[in-house]
Amino acid sequence: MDRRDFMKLAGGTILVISSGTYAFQFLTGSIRSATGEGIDPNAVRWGMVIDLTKCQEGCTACLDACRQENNVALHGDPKLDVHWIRKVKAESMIGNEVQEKSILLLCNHCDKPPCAQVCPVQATYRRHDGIVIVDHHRCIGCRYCMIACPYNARQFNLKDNEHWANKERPKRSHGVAEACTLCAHRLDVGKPPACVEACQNVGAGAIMVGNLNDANSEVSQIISRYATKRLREELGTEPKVHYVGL
Amino acid sequence: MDTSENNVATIEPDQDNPIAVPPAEGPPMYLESDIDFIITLQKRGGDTLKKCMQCGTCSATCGLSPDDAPFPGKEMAWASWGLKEQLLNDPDVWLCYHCNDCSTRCPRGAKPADVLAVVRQESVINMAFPRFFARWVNQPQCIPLLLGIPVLLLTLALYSKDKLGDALGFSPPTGDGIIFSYSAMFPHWLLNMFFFFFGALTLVAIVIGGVRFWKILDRSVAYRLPGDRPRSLFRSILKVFGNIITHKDFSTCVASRSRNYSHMCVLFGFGALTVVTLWVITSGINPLAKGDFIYPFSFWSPWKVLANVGGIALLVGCFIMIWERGKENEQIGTGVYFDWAFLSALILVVASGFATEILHYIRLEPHRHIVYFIHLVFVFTLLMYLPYSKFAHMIYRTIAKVYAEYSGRKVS
Amino acid sequence: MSFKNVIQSRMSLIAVLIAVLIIVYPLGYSVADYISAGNAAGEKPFLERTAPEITQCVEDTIYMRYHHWELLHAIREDVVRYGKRSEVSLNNCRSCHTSREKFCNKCHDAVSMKPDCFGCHYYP
Repeated sequence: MDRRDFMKLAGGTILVISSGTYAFQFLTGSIRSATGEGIDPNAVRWGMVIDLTKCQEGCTACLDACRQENNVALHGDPKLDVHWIRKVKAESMIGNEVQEKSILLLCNHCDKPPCAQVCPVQATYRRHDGIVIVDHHRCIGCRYCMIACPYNARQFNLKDNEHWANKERPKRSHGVAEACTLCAHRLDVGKPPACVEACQNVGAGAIMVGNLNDANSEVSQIISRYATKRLREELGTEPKVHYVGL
Repeated sequence: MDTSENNVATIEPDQDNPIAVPPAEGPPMYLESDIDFIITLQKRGGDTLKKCMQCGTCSATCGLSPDDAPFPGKEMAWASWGLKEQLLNDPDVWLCYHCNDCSTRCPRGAKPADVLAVVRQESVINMAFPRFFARWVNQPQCIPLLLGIPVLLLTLALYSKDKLGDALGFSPPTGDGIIFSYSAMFPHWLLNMFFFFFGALTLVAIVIGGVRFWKILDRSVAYRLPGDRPRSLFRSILKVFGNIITHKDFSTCVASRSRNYSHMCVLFGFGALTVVTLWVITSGINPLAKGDFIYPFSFWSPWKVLANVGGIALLVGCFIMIWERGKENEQIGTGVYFDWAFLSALILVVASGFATEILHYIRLEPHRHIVYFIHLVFVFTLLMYLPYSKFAHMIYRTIAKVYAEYSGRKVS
Repeated sequence: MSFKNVIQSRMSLIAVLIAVLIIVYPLGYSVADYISAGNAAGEKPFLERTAPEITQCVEDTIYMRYHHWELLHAIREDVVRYGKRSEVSLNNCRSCHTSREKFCNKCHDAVSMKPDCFGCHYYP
């Protein structure tokens, strides 16, 4: 191979690699943003810690507060009711033994949200502060996100919502999917989410919300001090709701 | 058909080809064959005309042809000989409805109906003012130019709307009334002035074309019949308009029966849209509309309903026409560029109009304004090229029918 | 001749009659409307002014008249996508334009352009 052939080969190779990389980045750009790549490490990254040891059996303060704050539909029919946060029995295998535990289940605001990846109209997306949210103006009601969510946190409005407790906040009409927004409207103006406030008001203080990127925040402290767990961590969705005593 | 048998008995040998008759006095006439004209006719869609063997079946079978001076047999003969003068000054081609009864009966597949359609196109070009523009309108390669003209003119008008509005004293409405997002982009005074100006130019072209045609009719041999005028001009006009509205001549058609209904859909749909448009643009001076005129109309306002129904009828009629032409039939032609250009323009106007309406109701901005611009371009091409396109049949066929009634030339 | 035969032989005439009736109907409607209304001018939809001391919306009146929907879209984008909340919001429109019936619907109902905000957002 003489010098000229080498130059030609090298030039071609560089061109192919660079354009291929550019094309790959261009084509996978929207997927990358949905999978949580390229997140600014210095930005606020909201996360939640739920201390199940403090959560009292039979208490529904957070559930009621959420429903009250966000006008979550309650038709009185279990098939139609929508829940942003609920108490469920979780099963886990410890050794060969199946253990049942009552936990609070809500949207995990994953850093790599599968719901946002499958949304055909980009109605579901991850905000810059890590909150996964639905733009109901855009949602076409295809329910892909409900199938994609490994936590079953997504709910669907099969009927127009008549429950309009908080007139300052919108309700949802028939045909859109929804889930916990981590009370983004309250966090934006510096207030804690409704469930956190309600839990403190009943004296339990089992739910905490804070900036996971800030090592001094309450949630970061608890996560570093206790052996917190996240639901279905093995799926790699990077959920941001941490449980103590799971 | 007993009438045709009677004809054969009474017609003298020379009469089915009056041009070949030597003049009564003077030397014999020599006919000049225009080969170029034959080639033009063939190129424009009358490629079958040389198959004609002049048997006269077409004239005998035509439901509209008069018994004493039949067509389209003589036109077929003229066309194959290339007698340009005779063909272009022949009013009979306008009495033909292109119903294809002659084409289906033609033993040679010469498609007289299509040949007559091409002759009509040439005749439109011949009578149009200015002629060169009519030639452009009927050439597919001129489409970019024909669409470019309205795009340019509309862009200029919209570009200068602010300065023009200030100079003429039209300012955006400031009252407490309804505002219409289209009128923010395309003010009504601007569009009215724009279309009135170019409409007036078109009207001049129509009048010149009409006068030229009337002169041709006055000179025509076929129409110069002895005896008094059987009825007044006014009564002839009334009779013809009644005939057009009821589609009496169309219903004699056998081969393309559905043309009766498709033409009704198109005519009445267009009529409905014209009526609504007139109602809107005259709302400022119309005492009936002045009191509570709301524009844009509510969806269930009778005028809006009429416009929507008219638009749908127009679209349905156009699609029946396309379906009719698409049917596999070797005898019936699939039409010529002259037809298709007009049909496409109609469909594009209505389709872009409905697209504008739908985008309006789903409030997609700025898409609705872009589509509205496109709609205006198509409206311009349809209306302003009227005297040069097949749309001109509205003028010439009506005049031909009126003159036929007026001169006593009976159409059976 | 039976009724069916009459219908069949006059088919195109009947079609023409129906078409003409449909075309003429709105004109008749308008004339009847004009006569029944008498000389009284018809009620034109118009916006009801808010309290006289308020003279300025968030933008110029002309801008609001022609572009309020664009402004609402822009606010929506800011709030929902980027969490930028400000004083300018649909909720705050209510503080001056107190009633949907007297404000939005005045024009929107008259021209059949139903805004779809109020299925989810509260506006009395």
